[in-house]
Amino acid sequence: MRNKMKLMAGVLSVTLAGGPLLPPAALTALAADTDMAGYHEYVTTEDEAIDHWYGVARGTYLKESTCGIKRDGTAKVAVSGTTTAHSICDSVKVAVYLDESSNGGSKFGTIGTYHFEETDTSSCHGSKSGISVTSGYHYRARGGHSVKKGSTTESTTTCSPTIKAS
Amino acid sequence: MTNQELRDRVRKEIIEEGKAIERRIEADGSLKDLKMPDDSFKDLMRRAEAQKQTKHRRGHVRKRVLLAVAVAAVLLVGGTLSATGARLFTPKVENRDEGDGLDITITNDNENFYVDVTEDEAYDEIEERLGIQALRLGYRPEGMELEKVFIDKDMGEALMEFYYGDKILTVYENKQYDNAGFSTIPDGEKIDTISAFFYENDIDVWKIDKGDGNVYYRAELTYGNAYYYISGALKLDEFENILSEIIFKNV
Repeated sequence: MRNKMKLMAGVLSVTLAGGPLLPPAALTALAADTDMAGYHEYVTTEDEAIDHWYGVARGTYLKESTCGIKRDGTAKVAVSGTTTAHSICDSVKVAVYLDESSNGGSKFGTIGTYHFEETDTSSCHGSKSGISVTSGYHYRARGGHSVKKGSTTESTTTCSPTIKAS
Repeated sequence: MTNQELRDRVRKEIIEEGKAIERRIEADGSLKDLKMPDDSFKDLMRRAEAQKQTKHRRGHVRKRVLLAVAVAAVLLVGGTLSATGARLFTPKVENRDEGDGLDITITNDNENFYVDVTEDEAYDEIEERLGIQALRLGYRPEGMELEKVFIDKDMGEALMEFYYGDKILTVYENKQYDNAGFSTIPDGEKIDTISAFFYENDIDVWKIDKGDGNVYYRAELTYGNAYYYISGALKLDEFENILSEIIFKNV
């Protein structure tokens, strides 16, 4: 099976880092009026969809965030999420939400929620495999990411492109 | 309000709305080639000036006329600027000629002045217009959709309505000012306290009996410079699942 690699650069520009809770089609360029900049990089293959958010500002704690979904067999998917910080933080969290659409990706509902957390660390990664889903339905992963250092908490969200369950 | 203050205010509103429209245009590649005529702003200001000269006229909102022209120019070409989603309502501004000055009154009526926005756009609009962090839902049960958004910039308030079957989940957000007061009257019965993954404080869940055999649930919290109130007649476990996955995006 020949994999088709499609790299979609997210719309970035702005200084509002993080990204929408919706797929790339709903991305908008936002006015520069915030403290941190970042951009999304979307990667889609036949079996996998990933949203990787990069922070580009200096002097902040939250560095990168990713969430992804891939086919994991017939009527199964796997999801994952990662949050990384620029330095050791008190707490690093990632939550991955598995969304399902039965109408071709027009409307989604959350069917799974997965939490991961690490303390005194600079990164947190978590995944869940072998999730039973419905063949033919569309799925995506959304991520919530946060790092906490002292009294400062920085958080953002990610959203993978959609894949169709085999 | 003096004439100059009025002009400044209208100019500022036009610029803000123009930026919002630019963002939507950039998101929609098919509209990138659309351009407003160079003299559009001047033309709009000329019409605004002409309208101002008319005595005792209470017409359509000047702001709305200006906004409608700008928005319609794009909408007529490519339809809605965003994917189907919720309707964003903003208060209507009326102007009344009061002798030498103009009095601006902001009213909320049922006139359908709204634009279609996606949920993410709604969050961004709240944050941009009110200067607060919008309360975002991480978990959304299947079938729940954002239907309406009200933003009142002058009052520092926003209201989001999520429809879930025949139920409605309401998220109310209020910007807290140092010189303003806001209070709520506790009502109902506290039935639970939950922890949210991305929110540091515990959240109390209250049950309110509507008196007709039906109940609904509510919770309130604060974050940064804002107060939030969530309520709905959902099942308790669904309501708590939603609460436990709220997130504020600050980067």
